[in-house]
Amino acid sequence: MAENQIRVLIAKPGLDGHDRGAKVVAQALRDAGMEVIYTGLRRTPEQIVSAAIQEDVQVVGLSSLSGAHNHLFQKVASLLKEKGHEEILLIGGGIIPEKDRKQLEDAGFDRIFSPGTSTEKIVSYIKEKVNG
Amino acid sequence: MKDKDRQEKIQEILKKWREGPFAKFQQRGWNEAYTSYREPVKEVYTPLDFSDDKFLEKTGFPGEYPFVRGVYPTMYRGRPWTMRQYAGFASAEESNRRYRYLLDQGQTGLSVAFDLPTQIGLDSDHILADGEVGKVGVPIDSLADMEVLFDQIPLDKVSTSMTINSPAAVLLAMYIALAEKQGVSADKLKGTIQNDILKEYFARGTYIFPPAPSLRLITDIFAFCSKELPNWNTISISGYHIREAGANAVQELAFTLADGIAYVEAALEAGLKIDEFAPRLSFFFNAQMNLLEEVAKFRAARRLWAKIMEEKFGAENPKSKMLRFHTQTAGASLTAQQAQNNIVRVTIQALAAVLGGTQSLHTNSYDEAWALPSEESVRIALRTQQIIAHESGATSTVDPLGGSYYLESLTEDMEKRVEEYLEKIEEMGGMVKAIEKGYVQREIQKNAYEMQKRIEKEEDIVVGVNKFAQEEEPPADLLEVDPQMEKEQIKKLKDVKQNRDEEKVKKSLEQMKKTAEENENLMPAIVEAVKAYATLGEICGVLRSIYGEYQAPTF
Amino acid sequence: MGEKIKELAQGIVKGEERALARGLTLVENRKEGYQELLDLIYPEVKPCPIWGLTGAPGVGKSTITNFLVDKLAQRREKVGVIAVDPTSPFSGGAILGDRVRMMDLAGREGIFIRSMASRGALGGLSPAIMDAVSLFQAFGVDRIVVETVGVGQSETDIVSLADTVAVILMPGTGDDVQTIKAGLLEIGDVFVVNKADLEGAETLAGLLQSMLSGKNDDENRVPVVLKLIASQGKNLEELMSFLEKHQEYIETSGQKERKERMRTEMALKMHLQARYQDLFLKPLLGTEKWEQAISSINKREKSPAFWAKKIISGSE
Repeated sequence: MAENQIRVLIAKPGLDGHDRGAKVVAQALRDAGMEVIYTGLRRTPEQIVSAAIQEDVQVVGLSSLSGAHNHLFQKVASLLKEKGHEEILLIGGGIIPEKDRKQLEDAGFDRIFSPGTSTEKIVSYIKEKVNG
Repeated sequence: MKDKDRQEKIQEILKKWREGPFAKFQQRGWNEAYTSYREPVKEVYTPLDFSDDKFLEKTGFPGEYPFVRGVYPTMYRGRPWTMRQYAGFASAEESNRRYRYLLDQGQTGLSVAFDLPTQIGLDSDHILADGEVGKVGVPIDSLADMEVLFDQIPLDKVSTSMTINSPAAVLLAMYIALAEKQGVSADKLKGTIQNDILKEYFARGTYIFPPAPSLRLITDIFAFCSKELPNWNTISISGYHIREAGANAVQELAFTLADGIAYVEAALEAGLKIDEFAPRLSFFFNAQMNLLEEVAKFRAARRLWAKIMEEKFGAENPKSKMLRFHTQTAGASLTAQQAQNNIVRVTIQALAAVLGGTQSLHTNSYDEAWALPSEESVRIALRTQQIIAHESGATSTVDPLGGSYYLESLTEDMEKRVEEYLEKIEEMGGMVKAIEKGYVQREIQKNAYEMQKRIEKEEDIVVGVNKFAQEEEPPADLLEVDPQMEKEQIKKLKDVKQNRDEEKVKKSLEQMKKTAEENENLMPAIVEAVKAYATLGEICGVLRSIYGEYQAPTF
Repeated sequence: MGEKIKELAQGIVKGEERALARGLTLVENRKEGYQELLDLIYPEVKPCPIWGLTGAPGVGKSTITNFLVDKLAQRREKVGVIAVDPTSPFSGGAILGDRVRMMDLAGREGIFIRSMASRGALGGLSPAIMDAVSLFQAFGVDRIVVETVGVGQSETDIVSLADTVAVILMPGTGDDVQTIKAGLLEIGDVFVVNKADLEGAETLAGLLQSMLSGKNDDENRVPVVLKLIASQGKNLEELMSFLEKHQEYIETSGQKERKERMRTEMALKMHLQARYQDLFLKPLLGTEKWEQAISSINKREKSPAFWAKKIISGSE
């Protein structure tokens, strides 16, 4: 049963205080049987990456609604790369324009989810990617 | 007796109707309907739900206690609501240009959006500010930035609303210092600071200090303004963000009023008199999609607050009992899918605010689920308000929905449920305790999660998202903030620090520290510090060192 | 498999974070190779003091842990933190929220924080947590802080694990006579009344004092009651110095050996139980014999006690 326990880090980089989406997603992942580590607000990319490594998560999910995603999300991606953790599934969500979405996916994000995405979709995406 | 006969008669006919024609048609098709707080809505409302004999006590007249129909007798026939669009740009220069343009166009009210580092009391060069400078509003590090922001804008001629909470005292001090430089005395200043810290802890997230010292800063502002800035709205008690965080309409109202009660109690405890500060309290609500429920919410809010102020706090001045409020349409209701549909959503929400008697209104732009609004989308949002004001007829009479059986009964029902929440919170020891225990957060989170699940099960329909969806190209032409701005702002901050009198800064900060430790009113000391060009981060840093920082309860 | 596990064990012993993180996952998931890993690192386990903090959700455990770990790290100690949160009995998932309070420590040199879900171990500690401690000790930490959610009733495992146990309580949450009776008194070396500015703090502290006064350990030591306000940093230093003094006492009084033995016994018992589950109980479920027993019990022919005995003796 515990064989394929999926562990996910849900993080809020930067100063954005809107955590409704992050918390709804965290609850949905828990209800789908995953172990979710939530970082709370105002985290630096360095803190997020360090937590992801120590917690040995398979998935990191970032949320930002303040427009700082380009800078902060990319920093998380490049830090993960730098520390040799490209295998971690990296996803994001929030208020992110299409142009930036593409840019982030090029920078190492596996997927940026747009507003209105169902949690069911996120759950099945993670399960499929992690369990193959 | 005659009334009683009538009630019985209605009851009898209603019963017949329900069992006869209604039951017959119901078999052909019938959908359940609920309020946002999951109360079933009846098939039809009658005087049995709100009888005429309640009119004088419950409904009454506009401008009269309990103000359910509006705080002023004439409402929009006398003067339309203030159309106040919240805006802030990546730099003080750019914002100043926009404000001056708006003023040239005849606008008299400004509404300043600050960036997140400013809202959290951090200078632009702080490590946590990395990537956030100028993103959601204008960065203000010191009085020097304020001077640019209001360059050539006479502060005695405009009213300025500032969305600033935890460091509200500092930004207000900068505004006062700037006025002094312009030769405008403080008593001429008009405007609002949001200054509502409690909702930051559970709904908006830009808190700095723990609740007790934060409340102290707030009451310092109340006391200072009641003497020095009599025309200033010292707080805007905000339900907007509570609703955005996932609350339903009753929770929005209950938690906002509970916050309001906490501020009043804090001010009374600090020795202020109720009628000294209560007339300057103002509110800020959300307008969501359920048109009639929202109208009932605004009406219930007024009646509840009037009652609380009169019965709980013994206010005498009628102005103390008037709940005046600003409204913003619901950001969370905007969809990224088929974004232009949002124009329609905003129209319905804005109409709710107007039918509910708002004093001012911000309408969202249709592209905000993707980015900060473009100039075009902002214009449509403003035009929406103008169409309602001039073409819809919604303003022709005061409280046009008053007397509707459904609306009046809904108003009463929400009122009752809010009172239940307020009692519960009081039992817990008040709003601060309820927040510290995580109660408020859990209530909102639970509602947010249930809403999301209902949408995913298609029990609730969102057009273009879980029904009537279509393939589409995401919008282009979105507003972008130049990342270069951050570097420029940091350079400006450096320049300020190089050119100021360090000794003066040090002294003023020390004085501030002393004042804070001695529990004296902090406002005058903060004004002195900003005049010496101490930065926002330095001033908040001193306070952080004394008060510590708030730690949110775990999930 | 063998090579990979060996590499992992070497990494852990060399103090590589990544290896420790992976190793912890392996023992937590009870995946193939975890026993081998434990075998490999065991000779390298360097015992270190273990502090346990327990209390109901929301009493301020993480804030206190955060403070203690920060202090220890300032002294250049290497600290391992294990934060245990309950698993949802419905979905098997969990939200591990303790890290929220400790995020300021993330990325700091010498601090390694790991959140673990209880995964069915009722309020207590799962064998995986005992093994996690061993991994931390092979990795080479100077101290381990274990934070568990006390549910008031079965939170006694922590005593077998930690050298020093701090029980955290707060006024006004039903931490009254009833819950205290339920066994908490037996496990604490120090009782912390957090949020001491709240109403009822004095009463709670007084109640604890009087209940504890008749109770002492083999050395006639009565547990200490401390009042503090963790969110404002009040009296946290006192807690720190108590914990250190207690540690000193443990080390000089011969308690250390006793604690070691308790830990070892606990670990052995847990592994035996797990083996029993894997090798005996799990294969039995759904077999003919199992069904036979169930139906016989349901028909009131024989009792569960009878069948338990019969199955065991039959397998001998």
